[in-house]
Amino acid sequence: MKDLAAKAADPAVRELLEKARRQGVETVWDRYEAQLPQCGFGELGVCCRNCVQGPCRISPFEDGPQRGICGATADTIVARNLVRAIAAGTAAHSGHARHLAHALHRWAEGKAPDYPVRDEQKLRAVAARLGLQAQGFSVKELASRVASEALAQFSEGEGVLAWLKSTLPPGRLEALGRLGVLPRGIDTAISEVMHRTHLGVDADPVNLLLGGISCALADYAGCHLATDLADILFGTPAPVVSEANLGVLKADHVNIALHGHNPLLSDLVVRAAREMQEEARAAGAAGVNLVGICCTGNEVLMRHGVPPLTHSVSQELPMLTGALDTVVVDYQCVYPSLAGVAECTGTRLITTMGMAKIPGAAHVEFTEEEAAEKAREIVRLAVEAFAARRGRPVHIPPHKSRVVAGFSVEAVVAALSRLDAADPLKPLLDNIAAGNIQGVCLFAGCNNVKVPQDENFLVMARELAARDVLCLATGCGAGAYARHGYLTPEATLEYAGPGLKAVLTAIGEANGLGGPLPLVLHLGSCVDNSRAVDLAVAVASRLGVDTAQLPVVASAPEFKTEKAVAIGTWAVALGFPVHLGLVPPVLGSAAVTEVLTAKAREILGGYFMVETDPVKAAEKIYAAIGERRRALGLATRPW
Amino acid sequence: MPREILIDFARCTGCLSCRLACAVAHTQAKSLFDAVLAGEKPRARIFVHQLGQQKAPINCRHCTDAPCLDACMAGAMYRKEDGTVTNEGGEQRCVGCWMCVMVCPYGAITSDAAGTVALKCDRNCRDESGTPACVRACPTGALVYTEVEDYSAHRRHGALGKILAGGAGAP
Amino acid sequence: MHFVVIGTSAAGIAALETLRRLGGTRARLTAVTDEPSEPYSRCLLPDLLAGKKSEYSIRLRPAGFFPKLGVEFLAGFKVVALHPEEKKVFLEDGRQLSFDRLLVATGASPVMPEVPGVDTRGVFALRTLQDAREMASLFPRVSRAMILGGGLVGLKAALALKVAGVPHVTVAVASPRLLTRQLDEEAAAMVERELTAAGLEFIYNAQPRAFVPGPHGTLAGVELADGRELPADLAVVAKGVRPNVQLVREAGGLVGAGIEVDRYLRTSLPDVFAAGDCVQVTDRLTGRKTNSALWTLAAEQGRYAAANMLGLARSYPPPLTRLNSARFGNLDVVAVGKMEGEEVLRAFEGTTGTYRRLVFEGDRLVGFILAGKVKGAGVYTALVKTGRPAWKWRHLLLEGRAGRVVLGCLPPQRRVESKIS
Repeated sequence: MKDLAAKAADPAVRELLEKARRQGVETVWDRYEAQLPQCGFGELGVCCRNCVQGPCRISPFEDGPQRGICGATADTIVARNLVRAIAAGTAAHSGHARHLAHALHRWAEGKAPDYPVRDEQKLRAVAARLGLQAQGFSVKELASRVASEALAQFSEGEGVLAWLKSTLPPGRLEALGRLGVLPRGIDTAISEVMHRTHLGVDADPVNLLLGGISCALADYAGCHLATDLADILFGTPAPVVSEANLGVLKADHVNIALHGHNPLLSDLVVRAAREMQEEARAAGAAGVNLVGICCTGNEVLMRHGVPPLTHSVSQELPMLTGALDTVVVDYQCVYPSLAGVAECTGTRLITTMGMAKIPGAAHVEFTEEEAAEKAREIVRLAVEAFAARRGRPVHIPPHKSRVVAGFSVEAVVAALSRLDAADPLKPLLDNIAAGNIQGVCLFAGCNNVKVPQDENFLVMARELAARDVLCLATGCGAGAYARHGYLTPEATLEYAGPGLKAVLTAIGEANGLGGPLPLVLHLGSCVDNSRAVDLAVAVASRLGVDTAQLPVVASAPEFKTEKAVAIGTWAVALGFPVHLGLVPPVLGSAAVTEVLTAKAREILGGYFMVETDPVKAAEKIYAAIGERRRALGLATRPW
Repeated sequence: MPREILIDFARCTGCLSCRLACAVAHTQAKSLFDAVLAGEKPRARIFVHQLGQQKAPINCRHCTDAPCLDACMAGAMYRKEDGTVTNEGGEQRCVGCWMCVMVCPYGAITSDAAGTVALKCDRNCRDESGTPACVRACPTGALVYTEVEDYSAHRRHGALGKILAGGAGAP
Repeated sequence: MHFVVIGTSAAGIAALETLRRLGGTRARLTAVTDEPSEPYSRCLLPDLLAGKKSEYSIRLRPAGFFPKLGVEFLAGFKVVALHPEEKKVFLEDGRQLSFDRLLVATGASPVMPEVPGVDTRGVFALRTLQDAREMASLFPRVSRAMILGGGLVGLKAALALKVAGVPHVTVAVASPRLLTRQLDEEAAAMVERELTAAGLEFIYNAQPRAFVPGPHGTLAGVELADGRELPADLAVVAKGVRPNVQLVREAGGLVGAGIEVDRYLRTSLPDVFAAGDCVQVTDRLTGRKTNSALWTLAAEQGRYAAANMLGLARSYPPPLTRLNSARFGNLDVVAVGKMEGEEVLRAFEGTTGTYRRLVFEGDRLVGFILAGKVKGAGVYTALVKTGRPAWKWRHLLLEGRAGRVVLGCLPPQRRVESKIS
């Protein structure tokens, strides 16, 4: 048994991993081992399968082929593969947003009664931001106009996308416009990448990368849309206290895990479960216990306090407790292997999206028109599953941590306004200027089987927080911090440097918490990286500087998905240094690598830093923050 | 002069092309697509391992003092005129007792899909030029099939052969 | 130079081949065996019983092997005496053979329990082709077979009888479990499950007290030490073997756990060498003197002895005397070296149904058991044999990732190999 520590930092995950081994249940870690060695051509990004003359591979050695059959060089192939990944990520995020826009639109048309606007204030704020006349319009009318505007983002339009124009600083928009990378529609951008990466279209690696950046900006628009629309439909998150990790399962309850990304169905399952406690009790359960996995978990945590169970690479394990009755999934990052594990453990796996089915899973087709009924049907199936497993032994690892989550920008501003009602951002800026906060690091992205799960997240947050860097987190990164107790005031007391501790304590106490804010602020799911941008843009606007000047860095220390590639790219395009904790498949082209890590800095301000060692990565991030502080004339401290 | 498969460990990218080619060369169909269509499930007799960042193909070294020859209780393992050590095409059939698997210091002997016969590199994959399939397939030159001078051959066995084999050997 | 080799199993054949290979065409080679025909593999006798192999297909070497190798082959003659000072051996038909160098590769014989009725018709050992033939001739009339001994030979024989169609096959084991010399409890239990599934029955802590003949003089049952009498019309005794040392002992040669040989495989008698199951070896790991009852060692010793007979002075390194590989039904088992030691690591891998046990002493792997998936077993064996530091590889070894260990064992300067030519 190779050190379990080499697989995961989370003791609950290790415990179940041990169990999986004993029971002969195959997990992502087994399959990774089975895949070794992984193909070096793929790792370098020099394998091209874009046409049927191929597959072609460019030799990393001089005596092998240096061009594909069509003549594409390693530079062309690496760039094409990378921008295709960005397009796929963009398609995923914006697909998520589109479903939300449809729901809102259908409600406004009176066809989806289960999707009323639950946050009118946010609706009006978004409308105002878009420059829509709000006064004199009913909520339904306004919802219809915002939804139409949202849907219009997808197809090719005139001028700059509304969601870019209304959320980015003018200077940045102008700079991006000069580069010719402002997308004219989200779908347009995706399809253009697919077009230009087709055999015999764009062979210029730099031009391809610019196309990728354009698509990534469309991804940003999609993420922002998703955040805005989810807030409008389900409420803008505010701080909420809950618990996280496998210990939140309850043996005597009907345990339902909500897994995937979109709150569209999961939010309704939460509501349905509340109404159906009695049905659960009738089946002999003490009630219904909802838990979250991955970003759906983040969405329902922020809005309803539903405890997150586990994330990303460890998603197969909760079923091994024997206590999980049903896993309901929508899409993205849902491993097909779940079906096999579910078969072993008797867990009911339910897919809900017509475009995302898994062989071996039950399917309850979600429709906007009958969403609440579908949610009830799912809870009913879970109650049935509970009845079937009653009396069977369960093994629930005892680990769980307290969690304070739900820091939307609105919540952060509200908290800061307790310190300065007239100018809420001022205390933050003052503390950055004074050096109590050296800078900000946003931790985003997934877990990756190649990294001991959570390890990079934890090490880097400790290293940076100790040096007074304010840490924000989204997605599975936020999940890692949740499970390890980093989203608590106690973690602040334990790990934060003196300056950061003082600031978080001042805000916490002003808000009547009787202690500091958590060490890491949980901003939400992966689409909610847009919230971090809003915060950064607000700070930059307040200071009158460009986002590229802010001492703000993003890090994806354990990323794996194409979505993460898209997010990282737009973060660079918006002027932020972005750290990657794994080597992306670009090393086959020195030119592409050079553009991403160096040239991008000259033209965008943002750039990629690759560092797989978490301590060294933290050091590099700290150095990047220091560089920006110096440029702003602010004092810096050595590492 | 005899030719041997030499391994340049620095050049392996772990693409597994050698394994694919080896397996295909040991099919009836002798082609990847035809074998797949015919439902053949050949097994590669060359292995690619990774330790840390190091990747490398490992196959049978056709050792001078091959322990698998001593171990074969069925009399199936034998050395051909050209020096190839194999358990196929000889007088006796392999019985799958895994004695050879137990003594091969390179772990270069595997079993067939049914687990009844030991499989190893038999060089029955060479083309008209006599080049083995794995060597033909290697895109980076990590596998080289070349004439080995006596002195060099000796040195090579001194290097690879004795590193793991240790102990019994000489006669 | 006339070389005489007594015995034509693993050691004898390996020696003859090596004598010819290294000694050239001018050496005169004579082989004598008390077996009536050409050499066959004893290890495959169970396969022959089971009907999986024919007498033809268990032969060790192709037809015409001896003439082709230029060996005078005397089959069916027992060597009854050795006169070292005269450099002569005497065959049972009175013939004498002079030799310049002699190799004694007389093998071993089964240990038969000294209990009443051991000579009853229907009581067998499974050591020779003749044993197998006689046993097979009884099959149609056998409904209950009793195997005495839960070691490798006993279990293989038991399974073979079952496969051959004997309705009831019972294994009586003296110990509380199977394969005590080869496996630990976990691995032995896996073997037992596999064999039980194949239809074998087991009785533990059972020693024979007597073989009981029926009215026609043939076997009717086996009486156990605890008084039980179990019906059986066939019994196979598989309680180990004893080296055949008589020839050398009577000639005045030293004998311990087997014929005593030095590191050149020379006996205490001038120009008399010995190899295979009849000799005593020193275990590489324990330093204990023990008999050498393994196929692999016999072949190895045959090669070394031949080289030394040719005057090449090749020192035979102390061998591993626990070195077993077997397949029971669908379960493969490999067991090498010590079963106990300072540090014992064990793991069961559910995904492949594989059990692995590693025994370390300090940095060294001194023994291991693999049951289930045995891929890469030779890498473990090599570590045991060479004594290379192995503790750092324990996780990989425990996970069955032997290939990675091979890479790790190649020193960095050897990793570039292509520039040699």
